[in-house]
Amino acid sequence: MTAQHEASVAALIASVLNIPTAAVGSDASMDSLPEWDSLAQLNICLAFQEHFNVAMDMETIAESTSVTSLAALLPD
Amino acid sequence: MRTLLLSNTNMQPLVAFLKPWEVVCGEFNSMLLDLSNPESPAASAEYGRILCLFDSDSLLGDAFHGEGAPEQCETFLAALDRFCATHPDKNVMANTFCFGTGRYLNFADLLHPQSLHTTEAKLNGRLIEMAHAHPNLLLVDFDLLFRRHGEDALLADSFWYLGRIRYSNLMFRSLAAMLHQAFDAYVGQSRKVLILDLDNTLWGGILGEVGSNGIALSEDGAGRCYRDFQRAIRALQRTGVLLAISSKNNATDLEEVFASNSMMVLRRNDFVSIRANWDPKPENILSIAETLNLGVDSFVFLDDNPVERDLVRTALPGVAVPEFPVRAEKLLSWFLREVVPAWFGKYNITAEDLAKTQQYRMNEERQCLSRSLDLDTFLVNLKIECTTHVDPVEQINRIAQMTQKTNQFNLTTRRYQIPEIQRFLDSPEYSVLLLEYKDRFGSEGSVGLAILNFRESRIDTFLMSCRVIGRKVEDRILAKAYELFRERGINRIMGEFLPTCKNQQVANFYGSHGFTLVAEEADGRKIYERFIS
Repeated sequence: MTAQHEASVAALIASVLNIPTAAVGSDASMDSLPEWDSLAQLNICLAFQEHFNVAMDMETIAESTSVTSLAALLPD
Repeated sequence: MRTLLLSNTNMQPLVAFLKPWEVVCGEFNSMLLDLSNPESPAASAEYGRILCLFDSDSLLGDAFHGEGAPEQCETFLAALDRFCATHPDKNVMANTFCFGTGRYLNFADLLHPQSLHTTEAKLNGRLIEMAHAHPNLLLVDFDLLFRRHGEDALLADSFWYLGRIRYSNLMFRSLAAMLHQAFDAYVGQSRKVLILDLDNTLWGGILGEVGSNGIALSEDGAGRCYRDFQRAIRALQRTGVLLAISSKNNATDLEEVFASNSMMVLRRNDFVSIRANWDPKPENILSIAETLNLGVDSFVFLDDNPVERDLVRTALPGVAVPEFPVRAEKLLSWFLREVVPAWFGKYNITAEDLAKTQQYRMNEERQCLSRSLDLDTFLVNLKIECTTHVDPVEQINRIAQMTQKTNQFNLTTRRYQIPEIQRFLDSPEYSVLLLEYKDRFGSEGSVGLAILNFRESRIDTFLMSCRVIGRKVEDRILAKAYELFRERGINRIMGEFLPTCKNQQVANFYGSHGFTLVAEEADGRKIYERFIS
């Protein structure tokens, strides 16, 4: 389930950043992708909220800056 | 045309949803400055469309009850007004004021003389006045979005405090769709004809099985879904959309429904063309197109049957074929929220729109007469009366609409928006001629348009509505054009033909009206001249 979540989160991030899906691995994060800056983080979280129907508070938005941490927010 | 997005909040997430528009965001919170500064990017020629999407609550600032609209709202309205006036060539799109539901005075707000409600209504009244004064200002109603989706779904508090982003992606998505649809409506890019299936579309059940009084169509119970749907279609028809039927049914069964089912909202006369038979639907749709003299890309087809929808989509890709709701109770809201704004959006309703069905029906009667007579006798019999108006400012909406919608009898197919038409009407270097047509069957309204460029001695635009093609009235507008050129001492005038995939029928128009071909370009463009004495 985790791997599946990570794959769908990575695909969503790629579409928001407008880069190929292959460029976003399960280990990708704000530190590893140059396109993933602080404004992109907000865009990713807006898309994440809508796509997975998960509400994010300020703290979660600030901390969930990697594929794994975002995927961890999804129910099993 | 590039688009500049101005706001008092962070609206950057909207940019991706606005594709294919090419949108650039202004500096953060630069809206007021950009609108007022003549050196700002908004004022530069680089941007043809300016989006002013402001957050009302932020403009309200710390204002409290009894203080009315704060100065910032006034400053914004004044800046917007001045910007629209000084840039008549730019399209400006702005939202209406829409305050959040948090109220300083909560329950006392409603009765308070300076309530938020009152303030909002006053401010919006000012915006609406402004939109009447400036045809280049296009307003979108935020209240519609908030009523439909609700504040909880559209606002994004955590993003607001982290990055000054006010809205959720649902808002950005819905707002982008609304801006696209409003702009299409504004430039008159809406479709003209709604083609309807019958069984399980206009009523419930199969007519051939249950008979004209067995179909589900009633004021109570499930049949009300279809009756309400028909009411909405009738309302749409009154905005100028033509209705037609393509249905696998016996024509006599359908006549029986029209004659005997009192629950039908739509009557026989509301339809300009009916095909109730067993032929494939794409063939029927093509034959409707031929009867109405319109291309299928101005058609929208509604049918509950996925096989029929697919058949039409494949055979006639120009026809818009939306999915159809599975549940009958969704018919009305689906039609009003999705079908109408996507394909039949209107920003202005002209007198022609209101009388459209009537005009097409008169055309049918004229066709009956023409079949029984030779052309010249027919034309004499019609008792045609034409009036040509020069620079009729009050018809500006109709003029822009004609340049946007006329495809077949259109020599140059130059699409103009209201601000451009305004420039032609105001400038002594141009004249706009509008031909009004009337005959013994009734008035067709404004059917012919010419835009003359005196500086270049050139006919910039020449078009006729397909409704009057073949009645030789184009000669009357040409005669008036010659007269205006002559008054200005011009005796050599130029005409152009710019080929498109739809205007082949007028390829030789100037050639057959006393013009001489002087140049033909590789792209098929032809230049003509004519000497008038």
